[in-house]
Amino acid sequence: MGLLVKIAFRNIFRHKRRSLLTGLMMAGGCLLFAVFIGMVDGSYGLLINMFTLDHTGHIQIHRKGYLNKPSIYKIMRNPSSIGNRIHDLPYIKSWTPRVYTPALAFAGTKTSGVQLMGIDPVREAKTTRLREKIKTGRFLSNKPGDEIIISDRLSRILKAGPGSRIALIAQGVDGSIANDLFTVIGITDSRQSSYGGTTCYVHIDSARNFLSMTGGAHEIAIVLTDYSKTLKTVQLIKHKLNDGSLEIEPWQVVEAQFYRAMQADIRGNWITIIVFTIIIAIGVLNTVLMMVLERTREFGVMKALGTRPSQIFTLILLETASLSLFSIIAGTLAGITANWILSVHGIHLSNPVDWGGFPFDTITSKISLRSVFIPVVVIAASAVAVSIPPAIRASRIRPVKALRSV
Amino acid sequence: MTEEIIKVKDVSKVYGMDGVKVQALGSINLGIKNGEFTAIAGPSGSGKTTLLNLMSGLDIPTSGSVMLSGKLISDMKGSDLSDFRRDHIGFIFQSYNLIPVLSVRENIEYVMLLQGIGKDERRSRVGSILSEVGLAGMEKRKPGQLSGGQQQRVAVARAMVTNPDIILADEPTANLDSATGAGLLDMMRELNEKRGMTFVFSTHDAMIMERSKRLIILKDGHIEKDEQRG
Repeated sequence: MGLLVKIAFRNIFRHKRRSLLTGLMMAGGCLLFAVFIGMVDGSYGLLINMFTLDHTGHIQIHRKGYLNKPSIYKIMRNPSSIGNRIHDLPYIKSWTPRVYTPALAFAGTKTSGVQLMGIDPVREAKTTRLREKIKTGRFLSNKPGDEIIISDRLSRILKAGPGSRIALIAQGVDGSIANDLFTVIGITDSRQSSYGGTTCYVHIDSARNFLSMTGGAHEIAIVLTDYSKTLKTVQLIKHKLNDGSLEIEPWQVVEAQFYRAMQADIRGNWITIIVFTIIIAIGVLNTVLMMVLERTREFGVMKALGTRPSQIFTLILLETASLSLFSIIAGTLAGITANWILSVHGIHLSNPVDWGGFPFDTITSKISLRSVFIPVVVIAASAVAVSIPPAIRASRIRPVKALRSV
Repeated sequence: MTEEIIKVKDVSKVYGMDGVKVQALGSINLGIKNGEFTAIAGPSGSGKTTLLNLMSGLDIPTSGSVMLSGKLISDMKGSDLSDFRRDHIGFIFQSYNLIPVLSVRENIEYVMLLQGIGKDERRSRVGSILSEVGLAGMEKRKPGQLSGGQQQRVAVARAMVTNPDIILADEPTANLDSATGAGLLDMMRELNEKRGMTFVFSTHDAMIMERSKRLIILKDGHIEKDEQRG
């Protein structure tokens, strides 16, 4: 084996230019793969963060049936008790209760349908990035009152800003007509975020009063320390609460449309990867075929001297594997470096691209096991795989025929 | 009585070329004894290389059998045949056929490595054979750094270093000038006499014929003459 390794290794340097070009092709492929996967992961990571950290959270708890058919009547009675029971479970960073209702908003002569969201200002600020999305005015104070935050889009529709008075009309949970006056104290930036364009926010107790609720919440949003542990944590919560009247769902279910679109996009990316692989594999195949053809006589001599067919086969695979090894090391290092640079600086798009309703203005990357191992495995496996037919051919060469070749 | 190392019995070889069958060898019967220095000569197309290939197991006879060192090699295949060639036959080719990426030492060691001979033994044998073929001090050179004559000496050393039962040489002087060829033949004859090693040449070189102890002349695939010489 040592002899074969020595011959294989030296043969790489026998045709330096050809080996260099083939190696560059493999290293380049590895780099492209790594950056492609890194950027896909990084960009999806950014999108997932938008959805989860801006608003949705990684897990949500509702009264059973709420997700399929939201209703102000589907109320969880003791959100604080639920939150306190799950608070110490692994991976849970924070949780926040919410109350929702559709309403009609009036400001002067302007009117609009809105989604009213009652939030706990302290918990919401710890859980999501709503507080950071205030672009004008301030966040809600800790005590209930008539304060309301509206989105910039709603601000434009209602021509309302900080200090403006807004009247809301909705239906209370007791069947009465809920109506109240609120004062705008802040405007949120609804661009590049999963916050709805017509959402407005009041203190959770103000919302309860408005809807004649005696307590409870429609939703508990939970944020984890590591979003990759979402499904595992859902099981932990289900086990802990053991309450059949509640539905505990991960963001993949809550934002099912987004998740399905993302999965479809990821599957589409595999087509790109397969095309890359085929191009690289053809290049490697060409090199190995050329090498076998050129060295037919040499293989004939080796067989005449007593080299077994299996040793010739191994020799050719070793040569491809050695070249792949050097190329993959170089390509992987370059890929990690490129992904690190892109993860720090990103690529800013002058014209944001719309993705599922989100203006996407930065392409970023991520160094992950996927971005390192998928290119390594795909390039190495395809290089070795395309070497097998020429290696079989060389191992079956009849010495008497091979010795006659030029 | 000296034992026959090669027994060729009723061997014929027919090649199919573009649908036309060409008989390269007729029904050949031949025995080569241990320690012989035999030349198989004849004009081009007479079948001498074919006969040498059949005797070494590089080619398969259309009919008949070839026994080498008591083994029926004409029926051997795959790894068994590779192992047999490795352990029993030394080859010297017309165009040297050294492995270009290996040094002189590594080329000579090649078959020993395939045989699994230890490093110390290999080094000792290489040192001694290089002195015998007059290439001491050139161990680290690559084939491309040697003259044709030197390369053929390395090929001789590679063929002999494992002490095979027989060395088969296909026109070993064809690519050498006459002085180099003569020197090489004298060296091989000396090794034959000193070590008692069996050599079989295919050739149309008069120098080889003159130096051979037995001369077999082939014509149109048949043995025309088989004579013992001095």
